[in-house]
Amino acid sequence: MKWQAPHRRSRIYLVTGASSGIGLAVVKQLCAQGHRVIGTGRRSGTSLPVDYPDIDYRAVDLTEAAAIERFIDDEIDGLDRAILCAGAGFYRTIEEERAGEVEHIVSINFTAQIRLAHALYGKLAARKGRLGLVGSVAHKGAAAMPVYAATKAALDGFGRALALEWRDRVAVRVLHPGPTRTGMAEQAGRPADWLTKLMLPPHAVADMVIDGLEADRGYRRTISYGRYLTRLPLRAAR
Amino acid sequence: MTRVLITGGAKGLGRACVRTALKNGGHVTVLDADASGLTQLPDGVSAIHADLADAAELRSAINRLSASEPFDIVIMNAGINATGPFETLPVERQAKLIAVNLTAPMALTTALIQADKIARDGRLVFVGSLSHFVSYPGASTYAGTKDGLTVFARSLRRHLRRSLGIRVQVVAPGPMDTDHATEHSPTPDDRGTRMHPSVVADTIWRSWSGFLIVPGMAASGASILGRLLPGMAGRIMRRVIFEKLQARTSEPSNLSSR
Repeated sequence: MKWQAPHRRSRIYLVTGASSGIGLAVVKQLCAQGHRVIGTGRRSGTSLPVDYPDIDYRAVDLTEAAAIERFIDDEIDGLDRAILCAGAGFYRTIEEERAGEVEHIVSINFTAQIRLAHALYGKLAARKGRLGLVGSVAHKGAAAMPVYAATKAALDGFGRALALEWRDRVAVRVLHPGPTRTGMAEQAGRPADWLTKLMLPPHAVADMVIDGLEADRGYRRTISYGRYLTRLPLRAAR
Repeated sequence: MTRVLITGGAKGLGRACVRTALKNGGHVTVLDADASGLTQLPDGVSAIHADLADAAELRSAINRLSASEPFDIVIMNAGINATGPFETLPVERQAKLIAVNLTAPMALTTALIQADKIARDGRLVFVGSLSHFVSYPGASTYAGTKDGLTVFARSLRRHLRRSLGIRVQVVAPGPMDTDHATEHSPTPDDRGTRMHPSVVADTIWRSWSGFLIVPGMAASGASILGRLLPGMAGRIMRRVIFEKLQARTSEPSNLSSR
């Protein structure tokens, strides 16, 4: 028999970046826990793999302001939790960066998150909901990807201030995963090597993202290898 | 002669930096969106008019800078703010804030480095904010852009020093006596406790070493508190800034109900 959390209420979750990576892993985990999930991603609904979880999925281009607002106004009724996973980035030093593409990375990793938070406020506040922003451990700085690191630091600083603003209305948590085996690193230009095998498994990161969002205190949580290892015996005990 | 580039140099801290650079015999180029402010700059200052929120104008500014002589000091100062409870601020204003405060300086830096327009042993200074240490509820998006800029600088620091000999620095000023800061302050009657921008500009000019520059005793103290007790610093900021801004935003409705 599958282990079930002792009586967890079924909630309505919104997950962005749900078509792949950490977002997809979060969706799978939430479905397994019996929650209702609304997912968005870049990919169209028809191009999703056949084993994609049976959720309410919508393709939304997060660089389009109007698309974000339309989606939230039309598709979301009640909402308890939002987990914003969508992100993009490249392994590029400052010499390799392209001035014209800085705007694109900022708009997905930061501006879109602000538009989403802004549009979701009313729905989340109405049900004392929680907002989870998925950052990266790169928020502390990374010479191999300064623009990506900056957008994740911006998300962290935004989340910190917003958590203070919304303190009694909507809990805001910024969750910073360490390197995760999602294929994003290869897409971003980091060749797969022995280190890739050591990266955090997406399902474990998803677990820690979902739990981290429920944390009582502290706006920020780092999803590190250490945290993963200390949780392993717990998982085994289940 | 020291060649200096200052973005947002027509007003506020940028203007003070222009004055300091001229006083020290520098040759100054100012990039600003404020056309009338640019005409009021002292003689000898080169002006580039560009609204950094506009992608096309940013590109043409980049083209012009890529054709200029290398700079010894670049001060990425241009910044705007929007204060009030996050959900009440128009989201387009926040998008513009991100374009000016974060996207533009990162794109400009990329272009300047790739075109080799910062001299060896030169300085690249980003104007961040004390909010990096103590947060800034009531200006959440602004706080985000300044943290982003600070970490962008931190990511470049060692790399640019080693490969090109460029010193990257961040200045984190507290509240200043500028039009910008006073507009976004909940208490307009505390001009005495605010730092004068010329003091901050002089500190920037003098600080040839170190990564983080926190001008003034009050700001330094706040930055230490923020580093040691970030939670407490945040709660204090909520009380002294956000709750006053909140009261200001809700005033009209309070008046009608009184």
